[in-house]
Amino acid sequence: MTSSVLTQAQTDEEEVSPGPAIDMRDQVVKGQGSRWSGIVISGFIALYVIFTLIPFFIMLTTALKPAGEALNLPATGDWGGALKKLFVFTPTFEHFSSLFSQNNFSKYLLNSVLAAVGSAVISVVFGTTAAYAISRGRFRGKGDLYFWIISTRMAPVVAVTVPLYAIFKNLGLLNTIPGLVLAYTVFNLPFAIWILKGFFDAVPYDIEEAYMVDGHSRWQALLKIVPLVVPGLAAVLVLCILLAWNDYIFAAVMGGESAKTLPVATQGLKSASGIDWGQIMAAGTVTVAPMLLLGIVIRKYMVQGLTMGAVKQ
Amino acid sequence: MASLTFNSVWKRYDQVEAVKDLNLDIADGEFLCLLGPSGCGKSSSLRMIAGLEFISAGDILLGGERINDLEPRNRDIAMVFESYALYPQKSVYENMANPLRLRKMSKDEIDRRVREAAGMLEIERLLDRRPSQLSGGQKQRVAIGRVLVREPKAFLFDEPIAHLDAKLRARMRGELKHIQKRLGTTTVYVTHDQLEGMSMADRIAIMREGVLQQVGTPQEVFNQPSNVWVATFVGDPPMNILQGELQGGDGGLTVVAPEFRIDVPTMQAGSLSESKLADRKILVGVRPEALRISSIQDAAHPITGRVYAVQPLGDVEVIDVRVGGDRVLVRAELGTVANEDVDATVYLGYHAQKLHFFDPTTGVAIRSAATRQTAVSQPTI
Repeated sequence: MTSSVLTQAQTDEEEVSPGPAIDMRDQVVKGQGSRWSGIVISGFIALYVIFTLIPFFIMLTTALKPAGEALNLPATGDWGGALKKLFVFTPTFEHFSSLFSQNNFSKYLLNSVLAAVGSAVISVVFGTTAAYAISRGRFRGKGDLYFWIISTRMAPVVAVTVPLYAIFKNLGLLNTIPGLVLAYTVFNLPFAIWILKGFFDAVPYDIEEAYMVDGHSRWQALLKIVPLVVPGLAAVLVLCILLAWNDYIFAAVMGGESAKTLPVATQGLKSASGIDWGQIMAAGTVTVAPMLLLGIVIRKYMVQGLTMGAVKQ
Repeated sequence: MASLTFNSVWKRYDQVEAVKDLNLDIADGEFLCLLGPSGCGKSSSLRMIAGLEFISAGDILLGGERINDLEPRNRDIAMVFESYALYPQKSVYENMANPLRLRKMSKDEIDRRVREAAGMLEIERLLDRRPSQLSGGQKQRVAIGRVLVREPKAFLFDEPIAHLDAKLRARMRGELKHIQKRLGTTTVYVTHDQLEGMSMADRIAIMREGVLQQVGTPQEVFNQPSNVWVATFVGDPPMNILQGELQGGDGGLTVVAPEFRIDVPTMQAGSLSESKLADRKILVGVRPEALRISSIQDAAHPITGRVYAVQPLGDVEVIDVRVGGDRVLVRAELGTVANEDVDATVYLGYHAQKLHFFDPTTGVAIRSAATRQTAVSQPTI
């Protein structure tokens, strides 16, 4: 019998494998590989960065330029003048101040925040419990239920707008913030369930069972493992806020004046007398800035969150 | 501490019957090993004790009290998981203190118990670390520490050392047995490794495909297997099984095959002639230790075979011999057969008192009345 010790020599201790000595990626970054491939890759990256940043640049500069100056064209062939116009101007905050003083944008900003954050919080709370149940439960029709939840995301938003409008009208939810929150939750919740299920799947069930055997109830065990899915919760929260924040159709159809959000309000800046690009760009800046800040603050969690669910065994 | 009883317990999943009519009594303070290959129902049985699986039918009693409907937290049972299941966000100290904090114990008492368990497991210097900073063996000790701090009615171990390397496994077998004997807590230990069962348990319960095959001390299970499956599962290298035909003569019964003639010892002859064998076919079991090998054919070495391979294991060697189409392992002193002797014809002798006989149709052991009584159960397979 002693022989089984000898024959079953399997080792489970961590062994750090050194990996390949030279990695292709190192060569590109350090310039040790082909010089040309490095230049081409860097060139493409630079082009891509410029391509994505130019709209933001134009939006911000137009918002800060005095009225009229933004669309003031240089003389034909005057390239130096055109370039100068892009960068040299006297910044003014007149568009921003008029947005908030005359156009009621503080209210729209608040509406947007309430609708987006409200829907995101509800989606994360119910998404967590639903995803947990689907991840851990053993019940009949689980696969079908899960697919049904996902399939609600497959219909295009436009297809649901009309029936949803009729329902909301009967329930008196039109032109209210709770109505918007509900509409966004309809679309955010399946998404939250879908992503969070992956995160719960990645947490070994043994850990909860250990908590239960230690003396916790099932609910306490669920709460105990929530810290392990915090990156996932953060990622889902941000993505839900983004989806609701950027929505136009629901807000335009069901929001009305009393629940008008930023995108709808921005669209409303077009008037019969013409388009005030300065104000529209200022409104765009007000709309984009909070999401940009949110993205920067939560970037670390986002990357960790979206990859953890995918690669952790 | 408490006794543990299974009363006709069944576990059914959608299509599968994982545990079939399990009846088992585990005495207070006993170390019982549930042994079997993967999928035999041993883990399901353990998880039903812990309350992590519903009991489909039957009752489980802990200390005489029916615990079927109690939540895991109310059963006062501590469990070590195969994956260790440490809390990744907590330090080693907090992992071990967690079950105590729930019981509203004083800080000093918690500290005393955690340090005492850590001392027993030699992990004092790891108390501030996180599980991710530990090696497999250290994690396993922390998982054991988490159950030792409590004084539960029973310890449950689910393959706790299966993922350690061979050397550490051998050491942990000794340590776990020592700790269990010192604390005297009723313990159910699930493993697929018969060596763990043989070396640690007071009694072994062997399961296969949801059915309990045999319960007994390691010696009983080893020396009086209830059927051919248990016989080949317990022991390493496993018991050899030879097929033959039972023939009667003036000198008594003999098992005959083209390669051998094995005389049935008189002690066994009675029960063999009583048994109803189809076509007089019979299986003879003999452990590698009970065989001896010789290059000369004589009356003491009646089995003819051919050397297939030699496996030296330090001071002994296991010789793989082909007898007809069967593979027979012989355990002998090192150097009995050389590596170059492949295909050489050899002759095997056996220890007559250590022969086992099985019915080929049912697999059940055929034993004399005297030995039959000691076998606890004899299910058909």
